[in-house]
Amino acid sequence: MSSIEFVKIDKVYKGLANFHAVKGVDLSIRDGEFVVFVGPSGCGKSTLLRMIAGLEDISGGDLYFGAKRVNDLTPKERGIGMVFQSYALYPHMSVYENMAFGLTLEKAEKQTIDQKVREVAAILQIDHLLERKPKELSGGQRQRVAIGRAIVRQPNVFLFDEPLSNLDAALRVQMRIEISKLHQKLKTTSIYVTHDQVEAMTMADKIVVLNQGRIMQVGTPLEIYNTPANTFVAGFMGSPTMNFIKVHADDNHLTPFNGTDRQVFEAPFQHRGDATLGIRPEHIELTPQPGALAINTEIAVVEHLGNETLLYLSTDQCELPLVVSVQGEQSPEIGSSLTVYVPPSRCHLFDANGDALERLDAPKAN
Amino acid sequence: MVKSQQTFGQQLLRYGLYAILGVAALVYLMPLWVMLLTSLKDIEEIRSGTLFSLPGSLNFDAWSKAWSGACTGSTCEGIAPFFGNSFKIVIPAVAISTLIGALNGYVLSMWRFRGSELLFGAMLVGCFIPFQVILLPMARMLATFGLANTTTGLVAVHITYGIAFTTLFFRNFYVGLPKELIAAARLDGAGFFFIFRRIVLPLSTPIIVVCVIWQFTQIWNDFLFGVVFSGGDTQPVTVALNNLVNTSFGGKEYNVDMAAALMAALPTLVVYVLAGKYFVRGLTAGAVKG
Amino acid sequence: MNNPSASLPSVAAARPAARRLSDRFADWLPKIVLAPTVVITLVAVYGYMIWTALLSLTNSRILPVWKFTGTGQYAKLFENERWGVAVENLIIFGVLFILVCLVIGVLLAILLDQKIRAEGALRTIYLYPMAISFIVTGTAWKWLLNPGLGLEKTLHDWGFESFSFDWLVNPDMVVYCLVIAAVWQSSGFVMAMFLAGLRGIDPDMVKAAQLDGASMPKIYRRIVLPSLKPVFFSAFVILSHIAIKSFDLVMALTGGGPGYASDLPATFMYQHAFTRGQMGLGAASAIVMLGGVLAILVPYLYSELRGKKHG
Repeated sequence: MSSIEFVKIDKVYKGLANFHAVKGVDLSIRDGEFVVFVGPSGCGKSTLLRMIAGLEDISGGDLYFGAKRVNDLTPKERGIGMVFQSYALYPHMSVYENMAFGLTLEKAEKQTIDQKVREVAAILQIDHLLERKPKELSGGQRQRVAIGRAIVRQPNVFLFDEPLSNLDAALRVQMRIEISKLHQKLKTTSIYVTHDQVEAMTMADKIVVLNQGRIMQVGTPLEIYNTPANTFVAGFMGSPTMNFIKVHADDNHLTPFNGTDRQVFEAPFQHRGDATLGIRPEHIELTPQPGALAINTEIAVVEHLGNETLLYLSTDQCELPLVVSVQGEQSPEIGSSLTVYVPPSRCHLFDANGDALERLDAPKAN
Repeated sequence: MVKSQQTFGQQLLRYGLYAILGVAALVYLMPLWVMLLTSLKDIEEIRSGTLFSLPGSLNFDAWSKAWSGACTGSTCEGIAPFFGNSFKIVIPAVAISTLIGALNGYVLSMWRFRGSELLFGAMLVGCFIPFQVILLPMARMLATFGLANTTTGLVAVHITYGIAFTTLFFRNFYVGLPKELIAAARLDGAGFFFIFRRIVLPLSTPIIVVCVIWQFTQIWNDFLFGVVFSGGDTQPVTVALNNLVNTSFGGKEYNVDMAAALMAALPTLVVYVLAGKYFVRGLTAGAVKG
Repeated sequence: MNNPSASLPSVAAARPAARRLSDRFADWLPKIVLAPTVVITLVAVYGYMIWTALLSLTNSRILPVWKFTGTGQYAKLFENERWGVAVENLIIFGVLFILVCLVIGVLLAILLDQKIRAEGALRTIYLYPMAISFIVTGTAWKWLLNPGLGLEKTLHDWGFESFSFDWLVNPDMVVYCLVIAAVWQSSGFVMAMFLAGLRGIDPDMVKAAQLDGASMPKIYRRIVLPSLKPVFFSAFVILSHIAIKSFDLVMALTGGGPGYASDLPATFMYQHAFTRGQMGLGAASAIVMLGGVLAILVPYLYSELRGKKHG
């Protein structure tokens, strides 16, 4: 087991046009932590993972496991267990052989190998499948074998590269819980790459949001949700995505840019100039609130999800329809007008660069 | 197609379809059938009957003469020794070119490096060039190394111009294997050759079959390299067959010609009948891509 | 990778340094494995091509003479009547061979694609000539087309007394014998290519056209065949490649005769370079052949690569 330290890690793919896939990543991962890398495809999260594994060269910066610099170590020497999206089980080997492969290469004794493989198989409840070939297994079973193969060598670090994206929805939830349980039991430092924010929110001790090769924010799931560091994180995490309204700020007085009714409202920020106001769909209210920004809208689309109802409202305050999430089942008439209220206590404000402005009423330490 | 009551016209069309396909099949089979009939007749029957008249009795004299007695240029030992030559050339050439192709394909798909795609493209040119353009220097080179007129020399030539194809086969096959398989094996601590032997090669059976069949047919059927680079007693069977047919002292023995031709065709035909599926796959893979 | 600390002379660094040497070897292993092929290709494809090109600029006869005499061999080649015949033959042979193979191949493929009962067997029959050597094909057709005893006599014996078929010994017609034998050998292959293409067509596309009320012939003409354009293209390239390289078939079927009436560039090159002691001229003809192949291939490869990038 091991902590991991990234110091100014860079990855450049040389070619006709150099592609800078990872740009100056600094990050500390504590021993035993479960860290999730999340971001849109092409954000560099998988490249980062492969650099930890030693499958990609590190173009610049230093990578430490504990106090040991591992840049020049081979994948094997780093002691990595990795679970791949496609499982990457060796198709011509049985489940047992798949799991024993790495130990055989370490020239471990037959008895030791046998004992370890059976032990791990028991933990993952795949002991009855040991003689089968991967093609005779279901998706969930393959996933377990892939995890088992990674566990059996007792790695310093576990890497998961979008491991659940090939499973159907129900199985995904089940495996998600099992991986979390497994981590609680083994307490091995784990890094988990996904583009699914639900996986990120539910599994992570710490989320790392990446975009275009840079870290956008590092924090616990709730920090990411409650205090997104910039518009990218705010828009990426949360579903449906956060609503943005262009405003002009004059100290704590905010005036929406567009719209016919130039109403001014107060929010706990200190800023002058153009800014973006963010409000999550679940935080917009349908009943008048003291001090809230009132927005007149027309109902464009209604989506019924059963436990909640999503209202897509067209308004002249912002270009995209304003999305509001309402608890339970509602059936408002399409085309009817509706006034919604943005409570200042739930607002986020971002400056012209998209960086979050600190709330004046925020507690100083979390 | 919608299952419906077929009209009389449709049924007629269907019969017509089968008739056309049947006639076409007969046309394709005809030369083989005539060769077989002719090889079983004696000269008198050939002169008196038509191509399609059946032989009076099954007469294998022409076959035994073609095998061990007919004259092929300077010698009169039939095509048997040359048949042996062909195997002496084909077996090592196929084995070595397939192995090299597999390794090359493995590197060019799983261990790419900067410029490897360019090298692959440069290699592929070897599939396309008309071989006339390399005949003269190759002959000089073989002479320099003392390999002129030897089966070893022919093996070398076939390997040289075969690896472009075998590399193409394996590379295109390996590109379809998941790369993560290799990544997983590397994390398990396996090295370049270990991964090749234990992971990649066991998964390569279909492409090995395709490649071996392709190379076998190509090299067995080769005439150009055989006629240019071999001499006297090292000729492959195709060259010997051509000599047998085109050098005749006294009367032409068509039955012997046909028997010899059938023998020369037999190995590749057997492979085709046994593994036709792989043969077609090789043709289309080698062809569509190259 | 840059690791300045590793170069420091210390006992502790000695082990990692040694290991890193083996790592470096592991990094180089793929290149080392590929190296022999690269060398062979450079020498035996590109080197030899240049060798031949240089030789074509000399006056070499039986042995190479490295005294450059300019493009005299090319001038001689294009004035050579026998080369003229060979090129003319290649054009006739190539055009007919490609056209007939395409027509027969497409027709057979479409007919076979109608849920035929014995499809597997028929396919095997149409394709088997492809497994045979051109020498065997030539030998067989030489016998079939034999003016005295072959098909001509057979038809005479069957009562068609006036039937005359002497193409094999008729200098004006002998090139068509090459076409017949070559089509017999290669048309099944074209069929296989098109059948594979037809099987790759989205059946929903045909169903949609049927719902639009198109008749089967119309569906084939307007929808199916146009979508097989890449197959046509590949087949054309492969067939023209076969045509330009045709050597074995001529040697076995006609020997280039009667006279040199059925010579092709490939046989011309062989005769002059290896049996008539005209090495320089042979080399020049080989280079012209290479030019011909490149003229067809380069546009093909270009469009293939471009298609891949944008597709």
